[in-house]
Amino acid sequence: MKRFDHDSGRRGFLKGLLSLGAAGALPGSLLVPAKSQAAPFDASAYQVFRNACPRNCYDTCSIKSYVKDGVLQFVEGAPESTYTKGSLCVKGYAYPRRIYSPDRIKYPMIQEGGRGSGKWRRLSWDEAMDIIADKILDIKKRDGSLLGLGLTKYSGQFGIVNYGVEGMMSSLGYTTRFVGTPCWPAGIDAQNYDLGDMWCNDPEDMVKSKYIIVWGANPAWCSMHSMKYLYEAKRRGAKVLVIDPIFTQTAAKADVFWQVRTGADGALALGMARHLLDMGLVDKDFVENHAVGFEEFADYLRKNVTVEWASEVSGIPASEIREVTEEFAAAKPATVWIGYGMQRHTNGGAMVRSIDAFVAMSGNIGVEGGGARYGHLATWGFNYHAMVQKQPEGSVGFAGASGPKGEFDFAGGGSAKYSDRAVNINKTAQEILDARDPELKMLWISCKNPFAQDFDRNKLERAFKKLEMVVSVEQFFTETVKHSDIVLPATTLFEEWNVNVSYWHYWLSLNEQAIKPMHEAKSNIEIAAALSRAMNRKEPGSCTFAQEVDGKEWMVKEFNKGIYGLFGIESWEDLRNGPAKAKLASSASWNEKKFRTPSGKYEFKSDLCAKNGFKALPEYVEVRKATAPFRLLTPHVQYALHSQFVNLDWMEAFYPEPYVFIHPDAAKAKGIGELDMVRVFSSIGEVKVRAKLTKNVQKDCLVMYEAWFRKLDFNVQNVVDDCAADMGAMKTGAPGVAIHDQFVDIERI
Amino acid sequence: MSLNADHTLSLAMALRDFFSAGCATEMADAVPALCAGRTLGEDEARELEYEFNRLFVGPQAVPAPPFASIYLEKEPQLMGRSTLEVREFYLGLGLAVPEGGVPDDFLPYELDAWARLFMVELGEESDEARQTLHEAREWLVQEHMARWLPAFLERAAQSSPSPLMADILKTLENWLHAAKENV
Repeated sequence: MKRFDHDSGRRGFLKGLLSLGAAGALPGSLLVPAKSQAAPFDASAYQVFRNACPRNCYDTCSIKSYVKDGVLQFVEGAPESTYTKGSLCVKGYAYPRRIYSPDRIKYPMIQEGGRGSGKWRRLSWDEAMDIIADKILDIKKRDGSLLGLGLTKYSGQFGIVNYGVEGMMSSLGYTTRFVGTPCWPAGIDAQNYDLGDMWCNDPEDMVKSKYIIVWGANPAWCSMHSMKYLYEAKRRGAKVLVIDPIFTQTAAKADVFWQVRTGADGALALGMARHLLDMGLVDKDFVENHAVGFEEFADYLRKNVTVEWASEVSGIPASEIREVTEEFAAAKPATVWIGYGMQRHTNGGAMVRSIDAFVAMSGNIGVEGGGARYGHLATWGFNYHAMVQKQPEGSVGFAGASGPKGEFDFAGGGSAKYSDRAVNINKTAQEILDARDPELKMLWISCKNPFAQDFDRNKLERAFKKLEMVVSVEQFFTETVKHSDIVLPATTLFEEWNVNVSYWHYWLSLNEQAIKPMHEAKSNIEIAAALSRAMNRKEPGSCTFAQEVDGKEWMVKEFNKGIYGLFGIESWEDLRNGPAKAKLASSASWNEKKFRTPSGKYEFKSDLCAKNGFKALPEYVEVRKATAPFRLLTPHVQYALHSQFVNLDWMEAFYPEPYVFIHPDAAKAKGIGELDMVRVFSSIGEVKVRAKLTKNVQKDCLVMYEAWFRKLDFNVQNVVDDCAADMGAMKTGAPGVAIHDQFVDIERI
Repeated sequence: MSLNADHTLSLAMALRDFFSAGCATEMADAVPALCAGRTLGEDEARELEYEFNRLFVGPQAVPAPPFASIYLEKEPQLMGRSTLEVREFYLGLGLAVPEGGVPDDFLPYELDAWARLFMVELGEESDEARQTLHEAREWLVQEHMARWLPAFLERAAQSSPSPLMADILKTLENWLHAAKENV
């Protein structure tokens, strides 16, 4: 077989072709004259670009991308970041498979003959924008406002410039926004009540910890770059305890594993707090000088909590609770990593407050290597230039107080006469069904896959029937796209300019455009500009968004002196040499022990919390009562980030199908054998899947890892309802969602 | 089945036009040359467009992507080594694909290159020049297109094509056969 080898031995015929007029005219020809003389390919000529993984992930990796001949060849973790430290996770390394997947959405398209008909027709960008603009103007004419137009967007593609999606909506007028977050809101509010903000230590300082509790997080799968700090701490003699209802990969690396009864973490923390109290291990200086309400809390503990009670509720032996508590107190510094999983409960916020209280009493707040670590937004002080857009003159909106629009809303509230209409992102289906005056008529979806991530999928399907038009901005044909009228192809991180920071570590990364967009993909701000052109063509002044945008310029406009100062850089261009880390006075948050609470101190007793309808003290709150024989947990899998990545061929090779994991005793009682096909069901729906038997899960628990498989209709949201978590409304605009308080039954089919 | 040179050339161009079509009208315009003069009504053309998108375009994952690298790479992907091979080949002809994000080994581009080479070759009088053009065309067909088009045709055939689409695919198969014979 002869190869046309471009690296060596170029075939003779090419030399003669140019002079023979092969480039001459041919009727209807597609190919065009080459711009320059055929340049030989240089195998060594890699261009290196800086990228930043924009997934909703602790690690927010700094990426080095290698491009040759305009093609992304491979990626690696940036070695300059001590956090990313030259490596990516299994998902990150698969990026070239994502960019060059034949499955990518290539063109704007419209689905004719109804959603789900599969009858798709190509549109030019202009045609697509004309159809969309006509619909928006029609809604405005019918309703007198644009509140019938809704936006649902979350964390599918982070990057500061991508807040231009929200900007696009504002540039059209006052619209309906799905606000809040399914991720971490209960814990955010809890930390705000206790500390006055969510602000975690630098994760790199975990190496200094002498005792580490990883409580409801699975970094081995979901924050693999943090694991090296756990290992280093262990090497230096630290003990690591993992508390989780599932025996996770992280638990396998720990010294001690507590398989806690789900939703009983709060009781466990209170039991540990009581033991600190009993043993005289409370940090007196902290609770007396830097905190308020400790005596009331201690009183609560004495009257209501015993170690035996905590043991009974949590399933952890009392002797172990005592032993660990004493070891934790003795090991200074000691830290708890509070995972997002453990606050996705009806009592999630209360549980985080109990853990905060335990860490605070032990004297580990404001201490390097210590801390009740949850997350932070301390490095997110950008300009939000793309996000902050002005409504057109004369826009009419929702009359009344405007609430916060989510944890990443840095735009600040104005005192305008009108505002957007805020509805709960965690009840997408119900909100669409319930919206009145005006009804929701049109939904714009970007950076989000509601059919994979929003709750009660069957209800969502009913709700979508109410919508007159659904527009999805996507990279792949998800279930959401299937339920859309129009799909617009979106760029990947390698095809756009952006800038990214993390809610966990303290690094800042530039995201350069490394390759030209594949097919006809556009970035979110380019889409906004295209829509603005169509709107203004049809009705001058109907959209204030810039009609031409330059991605690089818009990225630069997000920087300000505050960011440059914080990261110690002169210009964004410094980031071309590698990511930069914030210059921190201390790796410990709250190192000055000046808290942002109303009292300025750590608040064991929070009047604000009481005012918002919860207990002032971090008291025990019982978790949601079971409604079916098994509790269902639907956490992340190693190979996916929510609905992303499992659709790629490399991931399919490792992870070809989903399973429900069940304890062998429970399986036996149900007559279920290894790899049997089963039905997991509740009152709202069912999932058909094969069973795997494992003692990693508790006898009354089932585990199904959430993921979107391109060839399967597996969807855990069929059986996850939209029951709210306790907290979250204060800082994120809507309470969280009790993802792990779900109950199902199972049977063999 | 054997086709004469002119017919092979015009088929290549009609196939190019069909597979690069972005709408029902453009598809319908290419059909008569591919299916013995058959013309399509508006509804038929629209149904053909939906089917064309289901098989070759998207937005859902398509069974038969019309790109060489999907069939020639060890791990199917766009912009693979085989794509760059074709890019280099076009550059040798003084040609390039138009600006935009479509890979160089998109089927219509390859048909276009083949048709150009053949057209020039047919009008060329010098034996030496004809030999050079012939070698280039030989590479394109034997060493490249013939290595992936059968797999492409097979995947499309297994994806329940309509009788009309099956006819068009058969025409592509016939063209490939003729193009191989012609070199």
